[in-house]
Amino acid sequence: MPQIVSRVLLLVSVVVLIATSPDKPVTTADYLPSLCSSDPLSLTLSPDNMSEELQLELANYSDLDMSYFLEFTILGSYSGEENAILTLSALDENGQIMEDHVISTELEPTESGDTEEITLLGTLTSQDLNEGQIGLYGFLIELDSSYEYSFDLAVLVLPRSEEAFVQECYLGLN
Amino acid sequence: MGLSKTVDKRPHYPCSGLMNLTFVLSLVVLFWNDHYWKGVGPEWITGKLSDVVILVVAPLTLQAILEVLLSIFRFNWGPNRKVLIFSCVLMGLIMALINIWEPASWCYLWGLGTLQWPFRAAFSLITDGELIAVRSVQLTVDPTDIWTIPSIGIPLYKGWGRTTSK
Repeated sequence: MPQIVSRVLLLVSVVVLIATSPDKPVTTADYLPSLCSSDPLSLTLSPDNMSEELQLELANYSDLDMSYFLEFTILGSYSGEENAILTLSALDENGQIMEDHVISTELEPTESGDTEEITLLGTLTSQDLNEGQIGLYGFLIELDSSYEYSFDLAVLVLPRSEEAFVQECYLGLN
Repeated sequence: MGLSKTVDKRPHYPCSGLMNLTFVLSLVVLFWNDHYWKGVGPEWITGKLSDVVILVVAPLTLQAILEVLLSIFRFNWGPNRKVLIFSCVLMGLIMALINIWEPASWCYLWGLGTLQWPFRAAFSLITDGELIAVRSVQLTVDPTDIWTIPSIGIPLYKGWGRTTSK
């Protein structure tokens, strides 16, 4: 009997020392900021230049879980005299539009003639997208309007799980 | 002259070094301190208390593991004083190095993270149905923790009477 008790004590001791150690695993909170906001990218789209290819690069991210929400925001008012549609599409490795991963917003000038200063374009999920290289994502942004529109585009990268984090993100022209 | 004047004449078997009140109390304090007292009581008290009880529990646990392994592989398991001294010195060294030497800290961070992984993976599989990856643990490097190393004398004292030098 004492031998059994001592073996149980040994097992409990090992579990206490290892599994319930005071040094808890590193979590997202330890990697603040766990989310990343890119610097705004200035773009001008017009009937002569209706689209631009973009590239999003993630750096210093957790390799535990590559699943992030990519929230795209437009900064800058629209002054056209008619509604415009701004569309952002994810591109696959061949540069083709991934039809299931398209977000868009209708820009509607207000009575004062401008749209809101900040407009949420939409959110994509990184794990559904194609990575040309690890941490690189391609997009196409298109404007459907008869008027020129200059704006800034920014992306907020939000980890989907507590374990994930990303510390740097860059949005640029491809 | 030994550390202990009295020789422990109780029957010995592998792991029997854990069958003492000091070890059991230290184990309870270690668990309670880490789960309930830390974050409530003064950090320097709970931190140092944790180090002290770890230095009691860990060497005796390592000694017990070594005794079990030696007996399983049919070696002379003891109770041998060399095993006790080895366990105490090793744990004291680990405690010292992780607080003053960066490569040792790194090994500790990922070593303990790896040892914890089976438990955490099993838990996450049961609760979330997902297999989590290995993560490093946190470590608060505090060179003043070295002052707790003399508490290694407690397991040494407790185990001395039980062991022989042969």
